[in-house]
Amino acid sequence: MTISYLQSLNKVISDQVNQMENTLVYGENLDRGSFISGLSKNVISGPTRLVKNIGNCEYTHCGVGFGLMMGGHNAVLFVKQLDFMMLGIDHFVSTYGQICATNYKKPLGSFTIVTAIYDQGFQGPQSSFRGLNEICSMSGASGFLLQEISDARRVVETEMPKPGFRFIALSQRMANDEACETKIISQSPDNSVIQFNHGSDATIVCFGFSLVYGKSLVSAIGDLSRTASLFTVNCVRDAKWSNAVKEASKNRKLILVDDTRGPASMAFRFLADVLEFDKNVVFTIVRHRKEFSTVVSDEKFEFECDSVVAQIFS
Amino acid sequence: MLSFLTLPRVSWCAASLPSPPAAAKNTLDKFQIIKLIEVTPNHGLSGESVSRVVEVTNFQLAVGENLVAKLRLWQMEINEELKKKRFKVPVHLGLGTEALVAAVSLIVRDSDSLLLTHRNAAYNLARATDPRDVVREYELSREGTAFGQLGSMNLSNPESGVVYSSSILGNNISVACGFAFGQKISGGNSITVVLTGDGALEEGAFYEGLVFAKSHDLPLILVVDNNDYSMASAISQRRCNINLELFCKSIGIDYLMLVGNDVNFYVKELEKASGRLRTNSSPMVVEVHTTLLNQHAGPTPGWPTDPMQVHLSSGLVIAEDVSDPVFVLKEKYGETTFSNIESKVFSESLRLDKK
Repeated sequence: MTISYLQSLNKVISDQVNQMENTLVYGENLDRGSFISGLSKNVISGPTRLVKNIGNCEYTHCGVGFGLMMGGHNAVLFVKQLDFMMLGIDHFVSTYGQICATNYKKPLGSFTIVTAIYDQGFQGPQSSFRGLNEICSMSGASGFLLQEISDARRVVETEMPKPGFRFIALSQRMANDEACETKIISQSPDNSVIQFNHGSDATIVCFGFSLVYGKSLVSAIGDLSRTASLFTVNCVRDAKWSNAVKEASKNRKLILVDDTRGPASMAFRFLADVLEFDKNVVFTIVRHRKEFSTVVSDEKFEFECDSVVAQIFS
Repeated sequence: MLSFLTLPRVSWCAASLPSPPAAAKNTLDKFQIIKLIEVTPNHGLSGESVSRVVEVTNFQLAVGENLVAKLRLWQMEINEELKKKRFKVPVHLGLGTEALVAAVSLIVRDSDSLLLTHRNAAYNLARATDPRDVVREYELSREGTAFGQLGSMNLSNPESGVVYSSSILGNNISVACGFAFGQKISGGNSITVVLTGDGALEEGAFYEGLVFAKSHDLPLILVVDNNDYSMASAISQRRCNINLELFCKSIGIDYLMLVGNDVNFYVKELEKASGRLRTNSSPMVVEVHTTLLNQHAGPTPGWPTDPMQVHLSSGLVIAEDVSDPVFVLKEKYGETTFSNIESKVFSESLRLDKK
């Protein structure tokens, strides 16, 4: 029996949350109705784990998480969609900035915001913000994009219990897709870069929720009897992508795939580092050409793998 | 007029000093003095604080009153340095708020959490092990309270219970809810005290924070330091009136108003309020009417006419009415005894002239 992307991530997340003590788990409708579109199902209370349904005050929710964290407690906030977190920007920038500048003698707790990025396109202007990397860039916080069971397990199990703050996000567009599990070859200690494939003819680096497209490109390159290395990059400050940079230099051909919108793509920063390291790398970038949209429309990210591969090997 | 720079050395031998006036004795008799204890600026002196005393000359001064006088001196000393532009960071002093600051500082216990605003100088001075560390922080010294990394407006000192300070109006209320929620998860009888002002009442964060606190019955005291002003604008010049008591009533939150700058009364009322919260977790709001007696944050660029010019050389009293907590002390004890109090306090000068 197959399970969906959303079901698989819910299992990974709830398994981890249900192991946490000294924790407040909270969110709007997290214990009833749709369980935040299924995201918070199976999360249960424990002796020192409170599961609380809360009202509509997202700014306060974010401050509460930081307060708990500073007090040495853990907080897991479930949020239906990333757009709501625009209301918490002050806390991500000011409060979190102050926490980073303070020397604490007692250990901090852990604060994780679990949310979905509404990248399907039919919610219109109210959910036109997709830029987890932009929130992370403003605040210096880390953001992790869960793409498959393997990286989700790795990220959730190692990041969520850590002292400090981070976002963990999933794609609404992929909610009903069949769950996948591609074996991880390696990952950086901070989970900023995860490698899924190793090859010698090209390097593919995926940003946003584009791992699925990266895998298609690996397959298309395989059809030419060539091999490619495949990486995904999370939104982590000072991402440890030096191995991917070296691989791009070694393989000479680089394909960057980015399904996020907005001018602050991390792909450009990565590319700058690659070209600084080796200006002879040939590259192509596959991304939304129209950077910003507020109209209601299908925003499926589509491109011809074969033509991209043909271009890079031409 | 006294000046700490010219103050003669005073011997604190009780027998060699004059008796306090009869009026002061009578007033003191109203307190139940149970033991003599020197004020320890660090950590909360919780429980019966109002009855704790400090020996001044040949009489005893309630510990809160002593702290009021010391906070006045220390802040005035810092104010003199602000005028000389000694610090690169702006410092928001709280001259005129000393009764409130002393009372809050005395009722907050070691296990409690105190969250402040950008106008946190007096609180940090009150709770620091060494108030000079706060000044060192303003100098961005590695020996400062926060190793020179937080400066003034965000100065916190978790070791002293000041767990967070924010310069964003209303920002600290939701963070305080988080601290209070943590205390609830842990059990015990700790509380969270968060300071805010009449400016924050204009922020949405104020309302959603209080609704959240009430919805989850958090052990939270929200203290509104209402000084009427947002820099140069009085409330009547910038917005409609907000009936805070009525708002609190509408969501079932207890409300207490404090006026008059009598620190002993403030301590007593806040101890009663915090005692209730420690046994029956539920948020409450305390609105305290204060008058800010200093410039916004030292000399303010673009505002040379900021009227609040105060000078240490004029002594500790700034305003000759109850808007000044130190004047309240002077009125209570009389000229002669107050002079002794002043002398005692000046002996605890920060000595900022000696770097």
